[in-house]
Amino acid sequence: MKRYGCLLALLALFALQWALPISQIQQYQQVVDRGTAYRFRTAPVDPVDPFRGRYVTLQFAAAEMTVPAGASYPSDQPLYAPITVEQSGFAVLQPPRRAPPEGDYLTVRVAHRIDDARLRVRLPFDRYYLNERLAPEAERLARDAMRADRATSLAPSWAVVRVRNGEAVLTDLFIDGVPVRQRIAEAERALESEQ
Amino acid sequence: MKRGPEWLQQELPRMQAEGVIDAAVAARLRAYCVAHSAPPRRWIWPLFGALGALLVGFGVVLLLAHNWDGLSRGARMLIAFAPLALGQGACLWALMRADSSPHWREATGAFTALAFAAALALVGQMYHLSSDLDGYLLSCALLALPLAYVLRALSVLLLSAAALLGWTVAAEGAAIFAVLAAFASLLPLISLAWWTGQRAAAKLTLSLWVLMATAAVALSMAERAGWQAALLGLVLTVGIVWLARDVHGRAPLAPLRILAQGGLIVMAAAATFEGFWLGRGVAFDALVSPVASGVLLVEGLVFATLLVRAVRAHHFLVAAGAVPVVFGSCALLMDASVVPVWLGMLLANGYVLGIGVTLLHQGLRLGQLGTAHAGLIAVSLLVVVRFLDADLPFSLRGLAFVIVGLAFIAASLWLRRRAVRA
Repeated sequence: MKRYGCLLALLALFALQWALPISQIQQYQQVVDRGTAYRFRTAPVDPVDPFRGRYVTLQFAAAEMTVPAGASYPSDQPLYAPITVEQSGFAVLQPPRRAPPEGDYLTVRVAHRIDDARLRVRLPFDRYYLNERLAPEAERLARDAMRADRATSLAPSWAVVRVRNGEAVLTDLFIDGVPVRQRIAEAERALESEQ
Repeated sequence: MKRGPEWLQQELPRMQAEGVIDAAVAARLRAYCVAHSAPPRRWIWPLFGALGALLVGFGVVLLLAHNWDGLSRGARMLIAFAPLALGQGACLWALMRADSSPHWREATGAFTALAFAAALALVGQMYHLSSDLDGYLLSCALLALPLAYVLRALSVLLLSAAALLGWTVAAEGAAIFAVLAAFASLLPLISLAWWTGQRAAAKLTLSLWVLMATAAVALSMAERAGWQAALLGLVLTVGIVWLARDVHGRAPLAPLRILAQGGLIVMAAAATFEGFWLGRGVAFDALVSPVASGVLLVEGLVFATLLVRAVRAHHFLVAAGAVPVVFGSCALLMDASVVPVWLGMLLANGYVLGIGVTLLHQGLRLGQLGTAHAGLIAVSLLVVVRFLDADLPFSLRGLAFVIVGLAFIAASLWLRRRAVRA
């Protein structure tokens, strides 16, 4: 009897062990399938996560924004930043609010106040996983691209982010206007032909 | 220090070599010693099985971390969930068919807890989720906890405690009540192990629980400025507890002894990394406080006195055991120009290898399973940390973990069979 009790408890736990990752997959896949795509300007650097592997950290221009002087933004609760698209086609964030606005928005947290009129927030996406061979290469290409384009303070690189109901999933990374994997493959082919 | 039959058995080869006794007397004495020795510590064998399963489990985590981006999302999900399904199947089998075997319950439980952690990590990798290490570790800890209770697996409990400690670090100032409540939830299983006769295993688990819970509570309370002085104090305390065994001629209480042994192992492993030697001289800032300086000075003097005493008494193995404390104190106190980083790393790597081989050899020679296993752990630890440190692909490192884990299980089984045959 005790053994069957343990068995039931174990089966319930196993169901939970499957439910947690599967519910995450379902949640994020819905954002990928049905969310609106936005392009966010970014600059990648290449660190490593001991559990999830190699990735490129993305520093987004949209994470820093101008806010009304004197306005206060609590750092201990989520805020909601509306998304607008500039003439250049890149997405930017409006000063965050305490309640979800109409239209697409991102759920953000305050990172720090730069000065009275500028605020830096933590976005719900900050990394793009690549395998350990590609990640350093992506960083090198992005750095080269940034050197070539001094006109902008951030690299001519961007990330495509799908947004739905405040949830965001990063789906692709572009360097020099080309998807990162394709860009790396091109660079490798060029290197091979030189040799 | 050993007494009675164990001590006599240890001395027999020397007595025979020096002509005090002949081979026939030595054989009769050996038989006497075996008959009158304390029963072997069978409780520890399941933990060795779990240790092998842990290494294999960490190998799986690293193999998944390689990022198999050439595969479709479906195939990657299959790879992520296959170890979890395998582990869960093994847990069910252990519960239904091998419930009386703590080896199976410990090993399958530890593997399943890690397989779940790997599956959850892969979801984050597939959707490029931002860093949420505290949430991730808390999820792993909370889902490992019921697994530990259902399987009565103390190794899973320790994994859960380690994840909770990691959560405390990652959350940067987790609420003290939450930390206390989380660690308190682990205690009933330790009591259960105690009352069902697994007293030695319960003592070991309780000691490690105390160590991790104390660290977590201190981390949630400590202000950053006091860390270096606290660390130096902890390092010296570990050394004093270890060497205090020489004063009374016997080992201190089990929790303290394990605290000291665990601390020494962690320090020895940490000293083999470059980063350990890079952060030198930081404790000087903390020594500005006169109280902290006084306490550290007294601790340092006590440690030095005990170390000299151990060397004078020719207890070289005990003195050698305290060497990681010297590494730790040097790394925290000395200026970068005194000991070059490469020399520190070389000494630490050589030390761990030397201790491992010596213990393994001594354990095999004297038929002491615990000593041989300690040597095996030291050598495996060195292999594992070097593979973690080296700039090798995740897949290769994962494979190395799996191989070391399987080799560890095989060597452990071989030692056990040898002991049973003897």
